[in-house]
Amino acid sequence: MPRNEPTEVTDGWDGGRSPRRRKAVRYGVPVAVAGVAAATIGLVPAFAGSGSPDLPKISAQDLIAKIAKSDVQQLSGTVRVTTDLGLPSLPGGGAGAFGGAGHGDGAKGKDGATASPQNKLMELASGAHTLRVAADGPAKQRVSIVDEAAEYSIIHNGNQVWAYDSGTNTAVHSTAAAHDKGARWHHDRKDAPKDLPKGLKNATPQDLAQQALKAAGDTTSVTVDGTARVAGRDAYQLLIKPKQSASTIGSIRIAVDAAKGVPLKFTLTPKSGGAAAIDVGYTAVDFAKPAASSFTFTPPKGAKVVDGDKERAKAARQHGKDFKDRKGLEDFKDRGGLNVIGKGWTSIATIKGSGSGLPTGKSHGAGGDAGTFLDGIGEKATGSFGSGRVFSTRLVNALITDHGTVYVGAVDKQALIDAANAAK
Amino acid sequence: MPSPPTAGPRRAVPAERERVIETRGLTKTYRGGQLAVDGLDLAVPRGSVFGFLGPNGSGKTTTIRMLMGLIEPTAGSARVLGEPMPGAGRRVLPKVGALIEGPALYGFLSGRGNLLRFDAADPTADPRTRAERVGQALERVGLAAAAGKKARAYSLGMKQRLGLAAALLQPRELLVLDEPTNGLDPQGMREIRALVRELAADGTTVFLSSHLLDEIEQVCTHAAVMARGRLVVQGTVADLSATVLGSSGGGRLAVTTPDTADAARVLKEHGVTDLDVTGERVTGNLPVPASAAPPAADGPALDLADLNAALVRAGVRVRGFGAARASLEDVFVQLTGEGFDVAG
Amino acid sequence: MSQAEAPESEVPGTDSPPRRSPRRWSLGLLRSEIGTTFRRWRTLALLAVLAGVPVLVGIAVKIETGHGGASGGSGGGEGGPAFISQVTNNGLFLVFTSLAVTLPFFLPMAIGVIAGDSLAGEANAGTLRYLLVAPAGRTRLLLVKYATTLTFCLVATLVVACSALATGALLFPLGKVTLLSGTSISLGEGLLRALVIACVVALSLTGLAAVGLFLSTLTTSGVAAMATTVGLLITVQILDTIPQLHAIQPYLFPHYWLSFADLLRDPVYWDQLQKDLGLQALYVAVFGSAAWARFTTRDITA
Repeated sequence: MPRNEPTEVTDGWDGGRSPRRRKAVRYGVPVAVAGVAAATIGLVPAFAGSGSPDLPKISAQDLIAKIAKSDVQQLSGTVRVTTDLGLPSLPGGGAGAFGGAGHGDGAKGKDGATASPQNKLMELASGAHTLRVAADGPAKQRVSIVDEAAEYSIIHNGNQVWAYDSGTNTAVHSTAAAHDKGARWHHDRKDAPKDLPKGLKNATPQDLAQQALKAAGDTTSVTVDGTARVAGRDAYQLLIKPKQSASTIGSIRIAVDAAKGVPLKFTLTPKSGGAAAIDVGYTAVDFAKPAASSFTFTPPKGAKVVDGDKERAKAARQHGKDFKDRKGLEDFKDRGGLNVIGKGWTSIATIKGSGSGLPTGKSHGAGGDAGTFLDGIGEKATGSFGSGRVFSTRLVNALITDHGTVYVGAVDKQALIDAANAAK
Repeated sequence: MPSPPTAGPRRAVPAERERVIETRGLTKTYRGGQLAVDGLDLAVPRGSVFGFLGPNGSGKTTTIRMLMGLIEPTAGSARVLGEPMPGAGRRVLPKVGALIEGPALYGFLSGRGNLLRFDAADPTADPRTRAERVGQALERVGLAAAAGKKARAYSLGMKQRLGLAAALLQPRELLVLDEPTNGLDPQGMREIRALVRELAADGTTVFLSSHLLDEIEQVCTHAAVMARGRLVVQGTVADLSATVLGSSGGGRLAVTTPDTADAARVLKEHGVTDLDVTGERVTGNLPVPASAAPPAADGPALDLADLNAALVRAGVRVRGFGAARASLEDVFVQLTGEGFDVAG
Repeated sequence: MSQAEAPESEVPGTDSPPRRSPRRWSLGLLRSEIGTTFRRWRTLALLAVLAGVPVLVGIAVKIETGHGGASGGSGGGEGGPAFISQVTNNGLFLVFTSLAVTLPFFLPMAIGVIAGDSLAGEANAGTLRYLLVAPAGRTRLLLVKYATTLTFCLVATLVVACSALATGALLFPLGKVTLLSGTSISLGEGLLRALVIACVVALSLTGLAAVGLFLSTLTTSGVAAMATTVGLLITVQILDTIPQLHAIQPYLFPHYWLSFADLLRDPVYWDQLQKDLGLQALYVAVFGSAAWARFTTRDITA
């Protein structure tokens, strides 16, 4: 017992340490423990981040070629997805609605709707999520979104696609037609909303890297920026920077596995600085062949099974009425309402509106409230095009004119106004 | 008259190993600067029944808590059974039984359950003899009949007895009893005092704190007096009476007689001083013995029987005759200059 | 007086029976402490409340599905406690549901009461001074108190789990267990996982137990320590739900509590579980040593 340390016993009358000092020493223990813990928490990630492995130099071209050549068919791992788009945090699917895909809360309560992949993937558009992925060639993939005390899994095996939602104990079954087109990693994306913010519709670093490199051209500077360790593997860092000043994207950093050429981490930082807007990376990765049982799915006893093909058909019939349906933007495109102005990083999507646009604060009646609400989140903008409102997120800005035309892009406000002026 | 205490002036400073409790400059300042105990030098000889006297708030309990390792002294040091406290508490405390500031019990446990728990807290106590020792302790304090009752149903006196039983779970070298008769009826007090005497006769040193003077006077061989955190005096009970009241001698004589003038004259001839005549009552201080030693050691300078005979021979009609011995209360009032029940 | 000759003849300790060596570690105090704690009416009442929660949840689910029709009932599970949609299919899920229901408040509140009262209650009753002069030893007493609180954590969790299992087995069918990932395991393995989950839940509460013990060393009022512990729990639980505080949330002790559900994935997802147990270990180390520093240097004036 520390109170009875033998050293104290042999002390003479006045030889003992002073009580005050002893007290200070004892209180030092918890302080030291807390300090060491804080230092570990604070410094270890910093060390891990700066711990750049010593790798042979490689040019950006070679690295991109390495990615293209990479032929990893089998892997399993855990992906951490963190998105901070600066969307107003509204309950339910509100954030998704601002991202451009408007399945609202209304869709959620419907039978089977929560188990549909589209809705689930939308949830990735905000906050932090953990995904477990496994792949064995183009025909077998599995993605699970790990939620608190719940899990949402998509299992693709051959032409069978199952989605299982543990929260509602519902399984959605669909039959995949010839969607694959020989592409790697194109599992669930065929069902993903096409109108997701760029980079989000495919949730693995590989897909995001493909997207980013596709956009790279003469408007982009691509460099190799040192090395890093990701998920315990040595990786090169590819740094992609838009040259166009109007872009809201500051930089994109892709960590590429030095041995396998597989992108392991994708980080998109907005020009405004701060935390990454999109950060997707493996926290654990294994290139061994996953167990075959990972890709088999039998609906558990008692689970509700929904035929996804029928559901989709039903939704397609309904989309005419539902303006904000996930296919809404495609419809615009079909009708010629959607145009893309500019190229590279500063492309601006334009949707011609025919209506009177948004209700303004000046308008009367029920519109007044909505106008006031919009004034709260939107910013008035005027130009030679007339006037409208700019809605800003950290990455994407949108200008909605009073005429109802929408300009959306990963560009700053001025670029949108310029585009609107030019369109006039 | 109680028999003379053991330690006479020859043993005023006992050998260190003979001291069961010894403190040097023991000081405790509570947060806020309140000085509870101020430079206490206490020496309790082995085998004594040591009365620790002082009004409420004089620092008695703080001192006892420091001796038991419950409170860390601000300055100075204390040794109990020859080892430093609180450092050696693990070795010292199993040999010490204590009742500190009244009993504290688990109301939801029976009397026996309480003792079993306190005994289990002592790592040196043998669990095989636990039930037996608990039974003996209950027997000794007269609680055997109520042992199965929940302690919350106990009266204050029963709780006090149970607390005492906890102190007697093992044979102890030292018993520290803080106000052991608090809350007891006169019969209970007598029993506890008898128990203390019995324990002392077995060789256990008893350190007894009390604010009851007659209690100390009845059972203690030694005493120390505290007032406002300071030790005023310590020594044998007899020494205290003698040395402190030395100026007023061994006591005050009172003679009741109609012949006051003759009585005063005779008394004066026999060396009685400071005579005072009030009505039919003559009072005066008995002469101081030649040495400061108690009368038993050197014999009385003046035999009260002789004095009475002398009065009668002189034709004084004596109605009443008696000597009032100096009490601890007198000592205390003399030392502290205040009444006893004034809280420090 | 009879003691006149005593000091001369007395030789210290000669008549004492042989004592056991003080160095020998004794579990007697721990046994006494656990016995005392679990004999208290208050402890039994806490356990009874905890045992009642699964029964209530089970009956509620039974009534709900009874009214809601045979098949359509499960769809309405949206928004309920975790696993509740599975309960009608498999009574074993009532164990997981009950743990998920009791873990945010019921269980930790019970722990807070026991931990907060552990030393402050003794100080309040005054028995602390008698334990210490017995001498229990301050570090030993602290360890015994903490060990008893941990025992209570385990017992309380097992009470919830066993009550839920009994209720689930009575009201609902048992059978193959569907994991969160959609795969099925045998009932035996399901029971094994339930046991492991109960242990993980009990371990998740160790951090709070250490905080409660530390708070208990600060005061001599058992009620104050209990109230502070429970108040702190509620505050931290609220902080854990405020999105603006996400930077500190990974360091709040309840943050990973629901990670026990990760044991029901296929394969088991260890990341959060490790974080949970690591965080608890950190809380135990910091607050345990703080309690030790405080308790071993504190003046016992009560």
